Amino acid sequence: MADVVTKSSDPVFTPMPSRPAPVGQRGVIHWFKTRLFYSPASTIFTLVTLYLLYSIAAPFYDWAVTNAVWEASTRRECFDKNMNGACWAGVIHWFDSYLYGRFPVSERWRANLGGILLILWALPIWLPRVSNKATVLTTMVVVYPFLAVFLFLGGDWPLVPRAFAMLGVSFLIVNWCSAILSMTTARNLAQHLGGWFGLADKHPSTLLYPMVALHAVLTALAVVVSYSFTLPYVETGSWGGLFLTFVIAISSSLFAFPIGILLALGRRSDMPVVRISCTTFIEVVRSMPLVTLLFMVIVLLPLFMPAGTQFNKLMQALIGLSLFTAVYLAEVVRSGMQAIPEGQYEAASALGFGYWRATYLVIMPQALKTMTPVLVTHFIGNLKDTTLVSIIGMYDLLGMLNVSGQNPEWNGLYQEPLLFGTVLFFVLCYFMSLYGRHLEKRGSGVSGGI
Amino acid sequence: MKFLYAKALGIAALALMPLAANAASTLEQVKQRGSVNCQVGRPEAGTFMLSNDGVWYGRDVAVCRAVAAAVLGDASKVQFQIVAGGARFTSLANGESDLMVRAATNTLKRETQLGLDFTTVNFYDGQGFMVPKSSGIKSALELDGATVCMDPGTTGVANVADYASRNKITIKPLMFQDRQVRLATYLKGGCDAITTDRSGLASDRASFPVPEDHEILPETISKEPLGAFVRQGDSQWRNIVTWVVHAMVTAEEIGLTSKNIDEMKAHPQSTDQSRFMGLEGDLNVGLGLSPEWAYNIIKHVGNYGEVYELYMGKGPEGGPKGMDIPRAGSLNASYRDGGLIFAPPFN
Repeated sequence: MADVVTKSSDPVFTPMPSRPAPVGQRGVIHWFKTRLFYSPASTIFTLVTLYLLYSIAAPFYDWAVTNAVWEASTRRECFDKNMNGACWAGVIHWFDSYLYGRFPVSERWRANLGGILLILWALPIWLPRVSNKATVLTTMVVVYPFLAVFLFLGGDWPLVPRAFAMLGVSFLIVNWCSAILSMTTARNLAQHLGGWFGLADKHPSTLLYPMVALHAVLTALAVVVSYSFTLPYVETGSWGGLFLTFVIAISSSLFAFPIGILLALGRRSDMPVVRISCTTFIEVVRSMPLVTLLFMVIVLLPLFMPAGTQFNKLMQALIGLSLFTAVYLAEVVRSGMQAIPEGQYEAASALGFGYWRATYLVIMPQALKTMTPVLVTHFIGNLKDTTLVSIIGMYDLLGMLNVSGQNPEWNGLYQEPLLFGTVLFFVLCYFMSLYGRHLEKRGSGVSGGI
Repeated sequence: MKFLYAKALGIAALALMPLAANAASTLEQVKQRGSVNCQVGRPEAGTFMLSNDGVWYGRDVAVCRAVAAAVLGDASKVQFQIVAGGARFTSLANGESDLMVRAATNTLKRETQLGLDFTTVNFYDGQGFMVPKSSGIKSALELDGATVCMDPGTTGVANVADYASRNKITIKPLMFQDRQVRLATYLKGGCDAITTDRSGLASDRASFPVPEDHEILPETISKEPLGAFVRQGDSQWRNIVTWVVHAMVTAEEIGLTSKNIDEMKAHPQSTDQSRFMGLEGDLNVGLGLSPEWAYNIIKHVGNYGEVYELYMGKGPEGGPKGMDIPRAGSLNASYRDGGLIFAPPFN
C-alpha cells in the first residue's frame, strides 16, 4: 500500500470562520424579542408576570432587608426600632441553639469535631489515584459511627465498646497514610508494609497481617490515651437542632441501606417464605404514612413492654425512620437489579460464582450505578423527613425554630426562624442534588470512586 | 384547658393499667433512677420555656424541679419528657412518666376515666376573649354572630359552646391547632375575636406589634384549675406531689423564701417554721422523704410567690423577662389577699 505523504506546502482545506448572525437576529434585544415579546399575547403575559413578581418581591425585600432589624435584645425592641421589618436579631440570638439544640454549651465542640472527623474520613474518596477507596467507604459506614457516638454521648465507656470507638481513630490515621502513600508512590500502605516484611511474593491475603497488627497497636495506644480524659455524659434527649437533624438523617440512611438491599434480595428470592415475608413487610410499611409509623413506634411500642421500661426516644425515631427509608430503598434496589440483563446473571453462574458472590461482584456494582440518581433523591427526601421527629417531642432544627418564639422575650417570633430554616434546607438539598447530577454525568456509581 | 385527648389511647391506657401496676412504688423507682421523669407539654411562654443555653424553665418546670428537690435533694435531677398530645395518658399510665405538668385542667372525666389522679392546683386560669379595640366590643355578650378563632381539642371549645347557649348568642368557632397561624389569622381580620386561657391571651397580646390595639374582654367564661396529674393507684406518690405544691404555698404564708431560708434555719422565728424545715416534728414520715424535703424545695426552687414572680410576673432582676401578669387581685393571690391560693395546715 502506497504511503500517502502530505507535504506541508500542500493546500489544506480550512473552512472560513462562520459569520456572526445578522444584527437583527442576535444580541440581548433579539433574545428579549424572541422569548418574551414575540406576539401581543406573549407581551401581555410577560408584563403581567413581571408585575406579579414585582408585587411579591418588592414588599418581601422591604420586609426582609430594608426594614429589617439586626440588633435587638427582645422582639419588643425590634418592634420599637421598625414595626414593618423582619426581626433578624432574634435569629441571630438563637443561632447557636438552632445548630446544637440543648447540647450543653461547653460541649458543643464535640459535635463540631464529630462533623470535621466525618469530612476528614470521607475526603480520600474524592482524591485522585487513591487505591483504598473501598476501605475508606466501608469503614466510614461500619467503624466511624462508634467513634462519633463516643464523642457525642461521652461518659464512661467499658473496655470493649471503647476499643471499637478507638478503632475509629486507628482507621482514620491508617486510611490517610495509605491514601497519601498511594497518591505519591502508587502503592498503598498494605503493599509497602508487605514489602518491608518480605511478604510481596506471598499470597495477597498475607498483606492483611501487618495491617491487622498495626491497627491493634494503634487502637491499644488510643484506648490508653482515651482513659486519660473523660468526656461529660450528654444524654440524647439534649441533642438537638441542625446537629440532631444530621445525626438522624445520616444514621437512618446508613442503617436503611443494608436493610433495603437485604429486603430487595429477599423479595427476589426463590424461597417462598423469605419472598412472602419480605414482600409483606415492604408493602405494609410502604402503605403507611411516616407520621403514623413514628407514632406507632413511640406510642405503641412502650405499651407492649414491661411497665416502666425506659425507651430512648432517639433510638425509637431512628428505628421508625430507618425502616421507612429501607422499604423505599428496597424498591429502588429491586428496580436497579431488574435493569441488569439476564445475561449478566447467566455469565456469573457460568463462571462458577455462587449467589452471594454473583450478587456482590457482578450484579450490585452495576445495579448501584443505575440507581445513583434515585438514591440521591431518596437521601434528600430522608433529610427533609427528619423534621417530622419534632412532632414526637424531639427538638431537631424545625423543633428549635418553633421553640424560639415561645418565651416572653421573643414572644411570637416565628416567620424569621422559619424563613431561615427554609433557606438552610434549600441550600443543603440543592447541593445534594447538584452532587447527584454530577455523579450521574460521570456515570460512576457508589462503588467506583465517588 | 390544654388537653387534646385521644379517647382511643385513653381507653388503651386503661385497658393496660393492670400491666402498669408494678411492684416497686413510684417513689422507690425515682430514688433508684436518681431522676424524676416529668411529662410536660409543648413549649409555651410562661409555663415551659427553653433558654438560649438549653435549660428548661417556667411555671410548670418549677413544679417538676420542686418534686426533684423534695425527693432527691437536687432540683436539676429532672428528665423532661416532651410527649405528643396523643400519647400523654399512655405515657403516664404505663409508668414512663412519674408526673404530668402541662397546664392541664382538672375535670371530673379526666380524674375518673383516664387512670389519672389530679394532685392540687398550682395556677388558676380561666378562659377569656380578646378583640381588636377598633371593633368597639366591650363585653363578650356583644359577640353574637362573631367568628372566634380557637384551639381545637381543648376544653375551650366546649366552654365557648356552653357560654353561648347560656347567654342565647351564637358564636362561630374557627379552629387552628397552630398558635402562630391562629394569631396571624386574627391579626389579618380572619376572625373577630380569639379565645383561650387568660394567661395565654396576655401572652398572645404581648406578641403583637401593637398590643395596645387589642383588648381582653372582662368576662371569664370558665374555671381552669391547672396542676399536676399522677398515675392512679399510688397514693404515697400522689401525696408527695400534692404536698410539694402545698409546701411552696405554705412557705410563702409563713415567710420563708429561697433567700432567707438558710438564715431562718439557723434561727427559726416560729414553731411552724421549724416544723416546716424539719427541725422538729415528723411531717416527713408519712411521705417517705427526708426531714429536709420542704427546706430543699424552698432553697432550690423558691416559694409560690417567688416562682410566680419569676415566670408569670415581672421576671428576675436582670434576668429573662416574665409574663408580666399581675398577681394581686387575681385568683392566684394568696387567700389572705382574697385569692384562692391556699394550703392545708402543715401539722
